[in-house]
Amino acid sequence: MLALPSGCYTGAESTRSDGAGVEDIEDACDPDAPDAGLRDGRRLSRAEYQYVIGDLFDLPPSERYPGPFGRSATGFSTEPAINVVGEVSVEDIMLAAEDVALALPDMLDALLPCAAVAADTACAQEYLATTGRMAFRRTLTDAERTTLLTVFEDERADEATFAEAIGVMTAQMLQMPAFLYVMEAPTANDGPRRLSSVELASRLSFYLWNSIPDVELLDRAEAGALDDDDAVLAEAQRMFDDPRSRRGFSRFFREWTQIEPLTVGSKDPTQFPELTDGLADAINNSFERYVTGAVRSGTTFAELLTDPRTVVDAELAEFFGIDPVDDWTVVDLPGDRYAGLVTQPAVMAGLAHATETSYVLRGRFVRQRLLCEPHLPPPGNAMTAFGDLEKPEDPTGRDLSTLVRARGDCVGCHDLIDPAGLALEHFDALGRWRDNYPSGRSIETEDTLRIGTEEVSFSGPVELMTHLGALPAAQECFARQVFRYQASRMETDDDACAVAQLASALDESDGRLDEAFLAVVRTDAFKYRRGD
Amino acid sequence: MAHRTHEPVGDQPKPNRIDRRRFLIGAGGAALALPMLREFAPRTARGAEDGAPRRVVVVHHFHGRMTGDSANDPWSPMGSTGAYPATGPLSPLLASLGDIRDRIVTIDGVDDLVRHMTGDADGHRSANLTAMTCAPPTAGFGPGGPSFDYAAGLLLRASQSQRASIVFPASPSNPAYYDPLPFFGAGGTSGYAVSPSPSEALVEIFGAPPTDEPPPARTLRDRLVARRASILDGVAGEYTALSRKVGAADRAQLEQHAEFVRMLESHLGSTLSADCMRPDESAIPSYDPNANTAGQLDASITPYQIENLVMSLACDATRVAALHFQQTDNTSTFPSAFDGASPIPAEQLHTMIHDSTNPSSSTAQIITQGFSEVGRLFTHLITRLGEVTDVDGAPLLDNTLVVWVSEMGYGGHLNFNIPVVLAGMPSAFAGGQARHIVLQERRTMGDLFTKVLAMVGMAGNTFGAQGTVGDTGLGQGGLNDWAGFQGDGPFVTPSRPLHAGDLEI
Repeated sequence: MLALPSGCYTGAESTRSDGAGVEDIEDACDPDAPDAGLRDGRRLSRAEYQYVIGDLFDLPPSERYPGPFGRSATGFSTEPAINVVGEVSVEDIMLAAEDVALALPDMLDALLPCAAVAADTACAQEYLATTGRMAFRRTLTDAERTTLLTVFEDERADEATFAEAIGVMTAQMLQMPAFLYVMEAPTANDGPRRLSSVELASRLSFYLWNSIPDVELLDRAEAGALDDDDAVLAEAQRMFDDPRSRRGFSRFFREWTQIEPLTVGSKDPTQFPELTDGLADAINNSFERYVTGAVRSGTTFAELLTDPRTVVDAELAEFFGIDPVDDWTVVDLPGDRYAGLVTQPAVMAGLAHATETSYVLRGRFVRQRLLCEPHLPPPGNAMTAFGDLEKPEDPTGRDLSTLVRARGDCVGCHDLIDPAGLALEHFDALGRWRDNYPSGRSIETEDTLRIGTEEVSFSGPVELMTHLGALPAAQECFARQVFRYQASRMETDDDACAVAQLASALDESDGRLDEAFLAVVRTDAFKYRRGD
Repeated sequence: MAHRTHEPVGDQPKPNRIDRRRFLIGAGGAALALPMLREFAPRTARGAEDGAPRRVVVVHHFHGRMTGDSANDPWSPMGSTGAYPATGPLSPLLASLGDIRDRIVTIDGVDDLVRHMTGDADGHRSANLTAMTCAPPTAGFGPGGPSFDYAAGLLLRASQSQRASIVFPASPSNPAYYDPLPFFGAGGTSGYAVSPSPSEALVEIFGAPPTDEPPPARTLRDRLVARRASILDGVAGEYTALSRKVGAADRAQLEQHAEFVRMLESHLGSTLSADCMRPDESAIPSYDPNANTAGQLDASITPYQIENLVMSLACDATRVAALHFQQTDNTSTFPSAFDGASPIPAEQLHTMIHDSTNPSSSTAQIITQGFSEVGRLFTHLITRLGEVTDVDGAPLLDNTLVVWVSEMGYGGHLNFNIPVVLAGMPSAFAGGQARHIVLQERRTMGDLFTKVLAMVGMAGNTFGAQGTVGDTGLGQGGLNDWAGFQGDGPFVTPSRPLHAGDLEI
């Protein structure tokens, strides 16, 4: 257990009933039965919906579809509780479906070749057998087919063109639960049930692609091929290697680091006039390329936190002040300044305010997301108390931290949060290295971080990240984050075995990220479902 | 004083009845002649259990009580709370409301407190920006938020595709400096105002006039809109059916989804009033807008704009409308309120109002007579709302709350004691109508509008800036008190709340 002050962190984060952290596989796993938990059904998240519509119809993302409500427990956007519907969101779903329907006539020939030959009911059935099947991630039931064909035929009888009738039918299809919800059949209360081959296909595709299975996967799934563990692994490897896996990696790392895509409006234009749409896009794109490349190239967890490289295009090369490049290129940055994922500009800009850096956001990221330490929210008077502090002219981050930590009711948390955040003060609110503050005052990053019973001293961001990259607790935390991402919930007692297996996969591969992501599909928790 | 008889009032153009099927794009029906309404797909109101939508009409004129001051007030019917006398004029300025006296409530004691947080010396600008928004202006002196009509419309409208509010300029001329529209949309953007010309406004709302030509073919969008209820019905059935096949947690999610789909479906039910009609533009006299420089045409043309407003509600083009009287701008001389030539010189009204703190002065008498024109048109609005039958068979007025306010209290740039007339929706008045209320504790426009929301079934929503007058986060330029208030000491004090709870009506 960590020795943390009361009233701030509540101890080692766990939803386990015994408060335990990551266990050994031998202790955590039942050798005689599959270890698996429940997985609640959930509505497609906005990101998933956009990818699905893109995959089905080759349409650009819809802004109509409702996003998440509130804050998720895991930090990941697919949690069921933040994707429930309300009256307005049901209407938004309807309008989003209508947007797709309205675009259909222009693409129908490409989507449904029979429309150009014989635009009749048989062709509509063909549409349901292809596009409808992909949308529902399975062949439609007779009842579903009849329901939708009735809509089509009613419209045709009412003088609609074939394309219009398909459009109206599609509007209904995209509001049906078989499309909108990822939901599995319940399990009788007599032990874990292995998921059907079709259910596993959806788990695989939404985990790795954030979208529906492709035809290849669905064909295999409906043929029962995923009843075999090796076939599941083979499919996972194929999907891992597919360009669509970039979606999953990007979302995982973005939501793990708790950053939003950078936009011009997210920063003060008077302080950062150089932030154009082009630069914001480049920073966002660089982040996606960096994390995808890291996973695909066998990068280890330690390297993820220390690798002084990034990915730049011409605009970002200028941003970093390095030699020009023609196309996206992996470049080395100064090793005494840059340290992997955390010092990527997207992360440093994302963990900052509009006008200035935030050592609190950055420090909290280290404690909550890198070390999986539970964190209590700041007290209600935190900002008022901060505003009341008498601050010197042009205060540095350390000045402010010292003032805050001088208050007895603040020091407990800020002693834990601030050192790691202050270590990153060399990166301004746009994620760019600076030697000093704009006032000319120097940046002091040397500090000590308390982790459990240990005290870790460091001179700056590189030393800090090097230490964290080698810390078993941080690597175990990464295993938990991967579990939460794929399960869309916090781990429970049922998941001790799966988390132990992920941690073990990382350990045995010297921390390779790709091994952790692929190990997910080997776990019982991925392939089985506990009794409801 | 003699009053002219106003031809349009009480002798209104008879609008064309709209074929409901044409209007609704019914299956196999004709194309919708109303391009905007096509998106609206009439629905029942959110929160309207009996099936009739709840509606709000905001009426606004400039310069408040026009004459007098807090010691000599020719607007206020009575000095204390109570029922109106059975006979006699309500007050000099409200004399023309006699025919609707049983349907209204008048209120003293409502202030535009937010205006006094701006520190702005301009007598009109801040008042115009704050009265209907109840929010301090932005740093650049733009509106600090949407006006009440828009905010109410967001709550009351049937769906996102329905106009939150439609603003109807009451005079067929363009606004002048003293009377820019005080109505704003989302984030303080311009409100949606139709043309001051009733015939143009009619086309904006109801589309081009119907012709004998065969209707254009329905578009896919038409079909999708027409199918919404049917699709939602099928979708809800799917959710219910699936919920029986899943575990408890999933079932709860699906049942909730089905419930909200059903709710949305219920909003798609037709709420076209039986009297929903496209106003007849052929009845609107041709006129030259340039011939209205002093309000010469207001009395004859404005009733047609009022008809547009009434039918916009009856046909569910919107649930909230605003009627903005521009007749009280500096240019108006209210010619129709006088026999012969108006005694108000052109471009002098504003100055005359400043000089009319003594309501007995001859100048004040002239203004009072001119203002009777606004009262007559307001009376006409209430009368028409009472004549039109709503979807539930009751008069439209029974489901419509009308609130008539101004940006000022007294004409001399004073923003306390805003004149307030409430009308319609008798069921919302716990104390009944036909009475005057003098608030024992002064209240704000924010309180008034919050109460209006509660009266139309939207209790729990608060309109306008929160906090107190002294909140530094709200004030732009410091406080300024009402120099002209003859009450018991300063009323613009830092501790005075912008909302003080329920306003008892």
